[in-house]
Amino acid sequence: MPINAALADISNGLLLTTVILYAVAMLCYACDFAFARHRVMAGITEAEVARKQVPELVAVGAGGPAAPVKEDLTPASAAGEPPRSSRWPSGFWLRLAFSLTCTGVVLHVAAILTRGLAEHRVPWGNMYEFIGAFTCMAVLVLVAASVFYRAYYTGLFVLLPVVFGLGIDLTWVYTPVGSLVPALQSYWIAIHVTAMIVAIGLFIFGAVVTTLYLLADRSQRRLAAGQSSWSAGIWEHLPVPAVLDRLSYRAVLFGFPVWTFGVMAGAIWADHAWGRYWGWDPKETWSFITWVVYAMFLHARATAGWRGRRAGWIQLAGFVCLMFNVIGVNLWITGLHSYAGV
Amino acid sequence: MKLPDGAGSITYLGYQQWVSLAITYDPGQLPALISGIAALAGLILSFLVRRRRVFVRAAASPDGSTAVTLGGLARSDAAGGFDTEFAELARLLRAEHDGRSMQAVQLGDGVAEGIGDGVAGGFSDGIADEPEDFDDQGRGRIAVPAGSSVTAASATAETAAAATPEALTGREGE
Repeated sequence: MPINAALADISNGLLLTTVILYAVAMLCYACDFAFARHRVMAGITEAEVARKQVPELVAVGAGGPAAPVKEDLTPASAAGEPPRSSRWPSGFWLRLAFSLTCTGVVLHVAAILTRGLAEHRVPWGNMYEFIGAFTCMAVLVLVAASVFYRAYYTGLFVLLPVVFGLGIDLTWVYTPVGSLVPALQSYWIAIHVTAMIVAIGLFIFGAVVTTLYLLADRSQRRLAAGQSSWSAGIWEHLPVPAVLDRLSYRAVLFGFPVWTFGVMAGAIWADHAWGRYWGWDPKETWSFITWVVYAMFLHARATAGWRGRRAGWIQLAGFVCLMFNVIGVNLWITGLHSYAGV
Repeated sequence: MKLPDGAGSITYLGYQQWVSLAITYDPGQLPALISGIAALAGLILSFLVRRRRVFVRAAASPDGSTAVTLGGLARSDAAGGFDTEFAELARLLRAEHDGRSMQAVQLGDGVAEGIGDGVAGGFSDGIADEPEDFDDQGRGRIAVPAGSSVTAASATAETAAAATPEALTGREGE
């Protein structure tokens, strides 16, 4: 079937609009930090967080971060503090920012769909499409975390790398519509690459929140030690570091099995296509390294004394490996995955 | 066809059809698939299952009453939440009884044994990094976190002993 160039143009236009919407949403999130008087999360104390633990954990066990959290019936909300118990954003700027984010992600999904329809194939067959897809996943995770964990405060920080990524994607990485190279013409692309996209989206969210955690934690420790902290004003608008730590942990906890599945699916595809499961191709090697480092993070979390700060650094190391695998391996190393093309 | 500079000539003689075949027999595919699925299932299961233990000890006090001590130990509480669960358990237990005093103390992470003296023990909060709270043996510092120490107004020895296992299974079975 011929490639539908008109539809491809629509896809490009949609993606450009998406980036603009995300950028404006970022501005609104920033305005919310600057102007909003009442913070939804900032006032939550450690004890209140602990009180909400049980229902949240049940939800995680049932289906990861995307599972809905049951409305908490804590004394605080029962005593009549409506904004705190609501899962929807409050305040003009935050509402606007979140609406723009949601509109943006809908257009983002539409851009990916139209691209796929124009090409008559799964729309993640080259680097341009792949970056578009996993940034979309990252924003979907942001929206889910916002609603289910009231993590609206992460909006600005998650959209920042997303906007940068999409900007680079649209300018330098852009690839016109085309057919898949023969090596990729398999139904396994829908399984293996989709799993990777989902995992990368979750890992991006986790890495952003961990970075926030490390910075907030550092600021808090400096203040506790009587030193000055230039960023203390920012963290006042965010929940206590422990909440950030837990949120990023949840994202990784959900992303890790998906990544594992993705690597396994890749091995099966490799056996199908190349006659061996594992050949220490650079992409394979780096996805294994990424897997090991994220496994180290999960283990560190379960170890006393390695929680929090040190575990956070391990997670960031894992994320660096991930990003090197996604981008560096394609740019600088020649391997069997080189068709992905930059 | 003559090549330049007197390098000889090339003549087309015809062609032969050929095929290259690579045949593999891999009986390990099915076991590999089953192992892979099992490994993934185990991995997911290990994330879903939370290992935690609760100890309840009833001991006679010199004054004739019975002191019921509650101890909790989370082996993997990386996501946090054991504090809350433990406090809730202590509350349930206390609600069951009248007439005795009860102390609830949560043990630190990595303290597998040594619920020994009841009130000793750190606490596992599953929150930030607090290496300071753990000494070299991995034993929790002697500290009772706010909200973990529950002193019930009263409980009779009989009802305490009888009701405790019930209350425990009720919470642990979830």
